[in-house]
Amino acid sequence: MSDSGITSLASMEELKKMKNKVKVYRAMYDLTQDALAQALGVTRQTILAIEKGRYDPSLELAFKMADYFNVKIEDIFTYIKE
Amino acid sequence: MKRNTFYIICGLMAIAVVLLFAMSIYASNPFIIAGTILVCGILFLALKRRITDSVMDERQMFIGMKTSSATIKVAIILFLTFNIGMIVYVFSGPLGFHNIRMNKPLGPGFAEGAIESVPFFPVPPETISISQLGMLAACEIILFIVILFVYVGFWYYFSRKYGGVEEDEE
Repeated sequence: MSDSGITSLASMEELKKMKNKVKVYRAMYDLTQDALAQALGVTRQTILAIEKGRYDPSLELAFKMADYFNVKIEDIFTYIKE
Repeated sequence: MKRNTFYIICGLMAIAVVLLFAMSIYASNPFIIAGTILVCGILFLALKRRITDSVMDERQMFIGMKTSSATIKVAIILFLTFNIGMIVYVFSGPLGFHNIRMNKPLGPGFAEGAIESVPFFPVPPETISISQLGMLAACEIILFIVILFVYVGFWYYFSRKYGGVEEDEE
């Protein structure tokens, strides 16, 4: 693969950037991953995956999370367009 | 029902399927294994609904969907390739493949080094020997097992990709 091919793949990865502050809010409320997972009806691995940016939650789960922390959805999740 | 109990029952069902598959072959009755697969499938789905200590959340369902989708694509390619090849093999006579010949050494009772020229592919479909058909059936079973491994491989891959395998501190 050429250098330009690698660059374009890398830039494609950069395009997909959904950032979240779940870990920050969890720390603010002094919650464990397990406690938050139970409150939202998901597994602890899902919370972990969201925090690490490996999994983007569904709109429903994102709203549930925002509702749980009593903030707007965009306070937790932000979409960065490169 | 606990999840571990479910896994134990699934293991027992798998053993039963293998045993009944062998029994089906010995009895030359395909309905035994067909019925078993049907019953086991229904039983599997019914028991899965009764698991109480497992949370099936959206990420796991997403991983399941991705895994199934990828496995189906691979399965279609593998089975289509093999089955198309098998169809060509079976109908090679009408397609003219019977003109391809190979030299086969003659057995005892003939002069040493004696060979005969035989068609590489069977001539009309009805001359395919049982042993060759058995080989095709064995290949189908191997493909089926390969697909199971492919499913597990994809599941592991997508679980890692969407963060389900690693453990982390709170």
